[in-house]
Amino acid sequence: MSTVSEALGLKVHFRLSQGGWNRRSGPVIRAVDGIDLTIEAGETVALVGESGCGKSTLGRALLRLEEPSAGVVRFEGHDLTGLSPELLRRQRAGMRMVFQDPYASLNPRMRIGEALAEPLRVHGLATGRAARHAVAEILEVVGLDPAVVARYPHEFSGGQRQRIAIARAVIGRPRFVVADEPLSALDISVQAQILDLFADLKARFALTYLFVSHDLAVVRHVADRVAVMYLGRIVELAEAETLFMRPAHPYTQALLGAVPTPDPARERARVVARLPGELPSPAAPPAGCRFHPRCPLVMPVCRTDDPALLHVDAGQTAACWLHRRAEAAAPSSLERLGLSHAHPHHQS
Amino acid sequence: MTALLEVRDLHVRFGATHAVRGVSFELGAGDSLGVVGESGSGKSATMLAVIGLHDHRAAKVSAAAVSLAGEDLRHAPETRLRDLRGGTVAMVFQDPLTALNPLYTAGFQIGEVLRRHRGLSRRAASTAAVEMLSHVGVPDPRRRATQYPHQFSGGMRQRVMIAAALAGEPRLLIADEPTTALDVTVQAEIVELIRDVQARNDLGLVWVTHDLALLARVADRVLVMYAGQVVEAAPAAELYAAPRHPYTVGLLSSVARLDQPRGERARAIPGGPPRLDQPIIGCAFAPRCSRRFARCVEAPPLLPTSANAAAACWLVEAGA
Repeated sequence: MSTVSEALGLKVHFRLSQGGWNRRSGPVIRAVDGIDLTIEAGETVALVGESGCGKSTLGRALLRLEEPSAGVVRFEGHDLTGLSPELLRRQRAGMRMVFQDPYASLNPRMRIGEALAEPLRVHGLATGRAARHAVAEILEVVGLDPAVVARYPHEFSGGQRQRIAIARAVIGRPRFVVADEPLSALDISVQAQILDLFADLKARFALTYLFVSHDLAVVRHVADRVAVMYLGRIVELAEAETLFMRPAHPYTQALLGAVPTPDPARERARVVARLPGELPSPAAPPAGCRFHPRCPLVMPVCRTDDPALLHVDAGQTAACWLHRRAEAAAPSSLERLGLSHAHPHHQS
Repeated sequence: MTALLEVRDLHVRFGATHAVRGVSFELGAGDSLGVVGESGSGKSATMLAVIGLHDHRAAKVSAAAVSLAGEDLRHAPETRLRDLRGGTVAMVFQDPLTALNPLYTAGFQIGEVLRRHRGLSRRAASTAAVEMLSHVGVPDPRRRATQYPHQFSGGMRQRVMIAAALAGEPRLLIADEPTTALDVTVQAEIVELIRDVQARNDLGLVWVTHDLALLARVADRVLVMYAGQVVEAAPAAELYAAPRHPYTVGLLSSVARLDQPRGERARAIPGGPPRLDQPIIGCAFAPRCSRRFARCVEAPPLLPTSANAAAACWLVEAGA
């Protein structure tokens, strides 16, 4: 197996402008704050977390659409951080992005045919008749009539526009696609259609995906591995099946516990654990473990020491002191952390 | 016993677009009704018509009945509707940032409702506003009352809006996608809050959403809307366990869920909803329906499926 995308010690910090003339005066937002992640060829890795956790920034940084403040980003072994614009453009042909809002990502004044041919032209892959042929072919692959080339984005429904945006992403035959909330703007009955399309394309073009999403239920069905982010860090990284069956980090447990299921009997009986407090600002993350002020299982060590990703089980790591020595953590105490928070937590 | 809210044969037209096509339902005091549908199904347009919030220049509303606690709202003057809104009927919307005035503090805006609808003095209203904030779980309410909407997080802002909604001591709360813009852990908290205030104040609740999973927790009864019509209405327990309309079946199976084995993928409904600016002939769902048959060229009425439930599908009559 070969590595497609890799981040090592990656940080992406933004300085918030306060307005006024001193542009260096604002607080520094630590959107991505020290991340190691390796994505292997053929994998679908999902990146989940709540708004402001840095998941979109990380997804963009892997394509070097964001400038890293520290660390390294590699694509198929090539370090993207030091590349000249020309060399970067060449690498970009192999990696593409799909965005949440297909209306915003398609130029409203460009006919579908032109919009789809553009990446071919930019990367010098095809022009003229060859480009037209490739456009017709990709439209059929994504389930649209090739006759739509003469039409404009506004003539399509949300689901059809997302098909066009996806066609545009894959027409140049990239190896790696980062999809940032590609379903969030779509109706539920259409979401499943687009998920099917992602699965088809993956098989057809041997793609590797990073799927950025806030929707855990969707992620469960598409991901091979899941990375959970909180305040600029990955707090748990595990094989999907393991993560959903036995989440190891208290934050992952809280996230999973909050997802409703379309089953009234079950829903009405469910006791939802509330995370105390609010999400701290990524400009001033808490000392020690970043989750400790809201963690129902906080221990003294969590207030002072920042945990790295620790081995929990085969294919599962979590940045949590509860897993300092996996063998020392008695199964009973782990079971107590299960999804069905049946007893109230103490509120810190 | 008269219903708290009764709507019969409601239609809303925006020019050629016939957005709501004959919707009827009833809500008893203290009951909770979920209205579920996808974008363009007419679910929000229905509720805006009930409380007279459509722009009269853009929307043409007609109905055989719209009554709130026995009062006919169809011909109520705008001044009366304004008294009702924020008083007997309160609303909570998806985006509290557009519903709250950015220029006034949270305390002032809650106080405004108390002054207008409950006749409190300025001083009494400001004290009561702090109590309301504490009541909806805003920490440090005295300080928070002096802050402006932009100083609150999304979840806290939604709490402020709920406090303002409750300040008028409503009997009916209309919640239109109140948690859609929120993160999942915050969504769960707001759902609990609304459930809690509904029970404590014996409110009638109408919860409009696209999210069937969320409704499972809050609704006693569910209306499923498609292309401007109610296609199925049933007690929640019945609807989720044994949906009768093929659209409800499709919608339920397109929800990705955590409680099913991995790999059991959500199934899509092929195609998309019909255009509402053209007449719909026969069943509106027929073009996407895997079970359509000859009869579907005729529009089906809501046919009873049990004592308390109905579905607009000829399969019901065919006994399938």
